[in-house]
Amino acid sequence: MSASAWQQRAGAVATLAVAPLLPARIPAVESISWSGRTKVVIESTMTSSPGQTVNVFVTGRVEYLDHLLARAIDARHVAETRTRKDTMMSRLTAIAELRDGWAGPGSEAIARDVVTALEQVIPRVADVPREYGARADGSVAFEWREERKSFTALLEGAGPEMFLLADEGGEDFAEAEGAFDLDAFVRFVRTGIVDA
Amino acid sequence: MPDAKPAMAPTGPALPTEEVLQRVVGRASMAFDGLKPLRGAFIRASHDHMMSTAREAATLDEVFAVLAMETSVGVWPVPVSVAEAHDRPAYGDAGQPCGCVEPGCEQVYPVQHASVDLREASRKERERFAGACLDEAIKRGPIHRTS
Repeated sequence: MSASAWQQRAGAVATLAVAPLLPARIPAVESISWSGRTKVVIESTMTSSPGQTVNVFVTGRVEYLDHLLARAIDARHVAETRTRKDTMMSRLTAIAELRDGWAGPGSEAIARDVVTALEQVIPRVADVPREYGARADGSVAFEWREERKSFTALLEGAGPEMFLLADEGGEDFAEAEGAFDLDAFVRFVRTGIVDA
Repeated sequence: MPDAKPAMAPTGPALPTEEVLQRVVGRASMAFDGLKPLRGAFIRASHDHMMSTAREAATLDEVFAVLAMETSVGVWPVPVSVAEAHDRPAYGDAGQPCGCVEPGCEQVYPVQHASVDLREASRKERERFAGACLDEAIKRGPIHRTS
């Protein structure tokens, strides 16, 4: 099969594969480019909330054309990961700009040390489905729920300080607090397990 | 220097169980999709260790006069009954002195202000209360959406 025929076939398969698999907000594939004779790069963009644009790249090799569908599925994972990281970083920018009183009387801005810590944390947790937000007491917390169990991973103040809580109600909970430990914090956000 | 305020005194009369308070939620305390709050939207302020809300009867303009917030995206319900279920009293404290214990603080709560008293709550208790508020807010839906 000639190179142009490969390209045509790859483009058709990729377009069909990517379009329905990626989230609806992703428009049709915008461009297909080639690197040498064997590598195809399919580029698209998507809009993530709120109003952020993320590039989506699907990379395949023509000799593995039959696996392009799998590549597209991988691309969806990449797109979601990039979207979440992008959203997390966008929120961090917004949080860093909060001023005292942002959440009503007596509420506090987020400490610079907390923002710096989050800059280290986000790249290491962006591939897990977690959300975080600012709180009126000047803290920032990742929070999620798994069935009846609630999880909180909180940063606040100078240092910063961290607080971890896995709570199933009553006396069934585990918590830890102390100076920010990047590895312990990331491990908790990823697994929900409080280190002993 | 003024005397320190008495600690933990009620900041106003206790509110009726059936009242539903109004809590303004900022964008930074919403889920990423912007459709519902995070648990952290129902956390106390660090100054007075109370959660500021507006009374049920407050109009939207009054709510925002009470809880001015540049990035607010909605007003969500906080039933007094939820606070009571967690042993946290709610006070109607418009025009009353701030509930903090800092000597010299002369802040007065604005018109239609109400506070949920979380001054004696541990971190875990605050998280549980916030979780209960979130569950109720999601069940009832927003009172107002502002963006």
